[in-house]
Amino acid sequence: MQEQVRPRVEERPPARAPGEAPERPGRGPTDWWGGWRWGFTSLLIIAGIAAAIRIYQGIFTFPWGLDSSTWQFFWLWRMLVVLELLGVGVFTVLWWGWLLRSARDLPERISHREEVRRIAVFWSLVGATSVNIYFEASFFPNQDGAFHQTLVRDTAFTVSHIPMFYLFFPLGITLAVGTYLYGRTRLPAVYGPWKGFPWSFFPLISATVTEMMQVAMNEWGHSINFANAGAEEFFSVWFHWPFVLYGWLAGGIFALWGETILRLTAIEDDIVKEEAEVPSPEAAPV
Amino acid sequence: MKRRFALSLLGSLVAVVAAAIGTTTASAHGERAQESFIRMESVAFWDVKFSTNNVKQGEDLTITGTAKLLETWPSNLSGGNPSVCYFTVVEPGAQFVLKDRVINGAQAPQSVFCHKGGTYDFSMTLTGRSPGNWHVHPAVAVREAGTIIGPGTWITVNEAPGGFSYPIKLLNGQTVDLESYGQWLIVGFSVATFVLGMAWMIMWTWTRPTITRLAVTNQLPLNQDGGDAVGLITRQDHRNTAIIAGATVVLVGAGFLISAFAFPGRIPQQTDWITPPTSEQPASIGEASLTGAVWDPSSQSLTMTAQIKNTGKSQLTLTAFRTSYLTFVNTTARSPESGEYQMTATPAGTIDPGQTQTVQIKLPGSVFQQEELLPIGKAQMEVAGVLELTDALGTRNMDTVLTSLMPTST
Amino acid sequence: MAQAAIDIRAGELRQQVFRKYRFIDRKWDFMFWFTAAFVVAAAADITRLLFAGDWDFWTDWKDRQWWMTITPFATIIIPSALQFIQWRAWRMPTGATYTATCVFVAAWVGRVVQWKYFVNYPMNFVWPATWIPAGILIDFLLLQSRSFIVTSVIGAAVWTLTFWASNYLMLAPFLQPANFIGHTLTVADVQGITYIRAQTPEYIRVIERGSLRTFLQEPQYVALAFGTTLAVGGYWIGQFIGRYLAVWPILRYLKQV
Repeated sequence: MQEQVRPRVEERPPARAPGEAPERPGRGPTDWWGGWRWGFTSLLIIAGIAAAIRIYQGIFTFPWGLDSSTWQFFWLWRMLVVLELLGVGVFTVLWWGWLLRSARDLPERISHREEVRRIAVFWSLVGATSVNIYFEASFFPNQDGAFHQTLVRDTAFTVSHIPMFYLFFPLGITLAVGTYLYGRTRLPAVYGPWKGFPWSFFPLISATVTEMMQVAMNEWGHSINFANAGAEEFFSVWFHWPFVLYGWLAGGIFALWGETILRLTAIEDDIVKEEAEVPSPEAAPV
Repeated sequence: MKRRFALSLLGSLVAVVAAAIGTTTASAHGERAQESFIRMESVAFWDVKFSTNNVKQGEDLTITGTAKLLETWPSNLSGGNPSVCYFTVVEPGAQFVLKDRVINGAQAPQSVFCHKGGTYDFSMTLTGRSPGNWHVHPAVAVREAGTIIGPGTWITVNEAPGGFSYPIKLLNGQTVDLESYGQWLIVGFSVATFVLGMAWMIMWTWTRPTITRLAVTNQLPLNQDGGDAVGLITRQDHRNTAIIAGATVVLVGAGFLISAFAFPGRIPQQTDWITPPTSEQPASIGEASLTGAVWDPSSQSLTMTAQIKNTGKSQLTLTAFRTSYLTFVNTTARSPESGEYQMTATPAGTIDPGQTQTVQIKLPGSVFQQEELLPIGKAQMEVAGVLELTDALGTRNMDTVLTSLMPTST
Repeated sequence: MAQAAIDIRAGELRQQVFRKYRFIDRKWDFMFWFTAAFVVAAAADITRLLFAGDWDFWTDWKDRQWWMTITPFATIIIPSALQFIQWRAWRMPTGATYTATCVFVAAWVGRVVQWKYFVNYPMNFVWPATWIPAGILIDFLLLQSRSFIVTSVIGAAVWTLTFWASNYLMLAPFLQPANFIGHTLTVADVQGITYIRAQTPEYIRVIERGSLRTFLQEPQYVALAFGTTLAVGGYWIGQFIGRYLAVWPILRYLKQV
């Protein structure tokens, strides 16, 4: 057991597949500023956006977030919805577009080192999706309960709904689908198009899409007094439950980790096999 | 120099924006989004008064007034039969604390049993808690209908030295500060459980890798771990987990026993609902009804036709029309107070005893439009409220009225 | 002979447990545990919030009858799913504790940042329940039994009872009687009246109203027993999530969409 804690096996001099860039010190496939770079930068970006919105809410909710019929509400809050949706839309188009366009220029054959680096990037994107789900399903829902149980709602675009439903919910779709596109174009061994559509991504992407659709049912429920449920703020009301059921579909995220772990160990097995076959270290591809 | 200039320019810009935003008051708390038929036909408020608009933290203010659950109560709220009410205050968050509540002379700690047609004189005492400028309304929450909001006003809470505390007396004689009572038990015990949880997680994840175990577990049946021979879970692990689990049992068990002895005489949460005494109503001096209402968009006016019969012994005057939290005062009868609007009644003047008069009441449409109380194009195009009739002796009647609204165009 | 074969096999597996890798270092473990914490906390929190949130938000909702009927069911679902995932993948009895610890942080962040600092309710009124002792004990049960069936049946009882005991001891001060405008109420009731909740009127509380016969003061125990039954169901809902949404999809593909 103690052996596993020691530093990993010394690497042989790396061999590059055609077209691969030379390695820079500290930017290796599993270095923090190498393959894992997006792991913490994406988290900081998403958390930073959430913090900025929370601060904005702290400044402008009382009193301008309480009366949706005022012009201040229009400019401070309804326009924020527009800004959020536009922002997510633009980011989605740019990012997905880049993922697909740049895939054409990727080399067909990649080294094990490069594939490991891409799995680290893939895990970083999965991590970003996970962090986004936290803001959409815990951080802002807490605020939603706090706001609506203690104040009177008068619009579907309440102060707490605006970041939750109209920023982090759609961003969840962007991140989940974008992660899939990354896997499809950069990790062909696991997510190559000829394999079919991965079952792992199916529930995860479905979770983000159905959550967005559930917003409509939620607003419908709150706007009518059907079975006397819409008029009062009971957080465990029945038309909130689909949010939970759709959220469970995000369990598919674990399959992404599982699949890529199996691929990592397969890469390691390949390395061992290749090194056993090739006698001279200089010629060993890694 | 340039940097200082840029900073002061930015500061000025922020100040201008803040001033621009702050110039119009936002006085509503969501009531404008409630359908007009709900606000007009469910609860009418009158004589609402705030004892002060300025308090310090820890100082009291009292809101008094009357709320009536109108006879025109909508059939699609509370099944047409309101039965449980909660007189409350709408203010943003917990910026005040509620100290006392009296309904029709009886103290009402929690909800009250109410009914359609019931008139409730309320008095609620609040204590300022958080410094700031807060918009406050009395309100009536009715089960299966929602919160019907009354007229509001701005209250300023100023900071007091020492901040805010709220002592309450327990039945055992102990006085506790409600703001922080029990806080250290909650935080302390919760953190202790977190420490145990982290100990468990660190024990399993720190000393061994995680993800590489998948390659091994894929080869084992689900209900086996291979024991010491495989090394996924060792005897040491069993020992360590037993220690942490044991510590958990001791912490919870001891905590439970200590808490049970430290806080004896516990009772379950209470439901102490009262039926308020019936409010004494003045003698009937008149009968009023509406026979029609017309909305004219070109003149922006709402004109109602009322039939008013004087059933009393002295001259009768139509003094006001009240709907939702609005009051429209007949200026020939009295001057409007702050927050009240004007209406004209034609013919002006009084009604003799025994006489029935048809009165045209003209109301400013702009107020209805601003308050989103004009139900043109909505599911129920009706106007409702109470007509306030006053006789020469000062006796006042509030007659519930309702009629269809006829727009000249939609 | 058979024993020798078993020993050889165990030896092979042991070698794989302690194998050294070229690229797989502890950073992968850290990134897994750290990034998974967010989605696990979110899933557990949203399940708790929307199935049993009202009872968890306020002290004056944590009653004898409904709180422990509904909350164990709502809160055991995701820990059960993670128990399966982490036992199946790593043979680590950590799923429930991991979930409970992650949701602990998420809940406290949510309550402090939103309930206290946004709408200004004191933390002694809106404190979240802790699931950690219950999580540790059912993880311990899984480790000892290595059986999900045993963990579901006995574990549901352990979960419910431990959940109740570990949170009731924090609730106890608030169940002391106090005098409020001439009426005897609990401190929790007084909190509910005092700290105004505009859209959560007092009558909306789904709590014991004394409408059931109390069987000589036993409603709490009846609720715990029924809560346990529901928690068994919740446990298997969690198992479904873990087995069919998290693990089954691994390396499976839809040929036609």
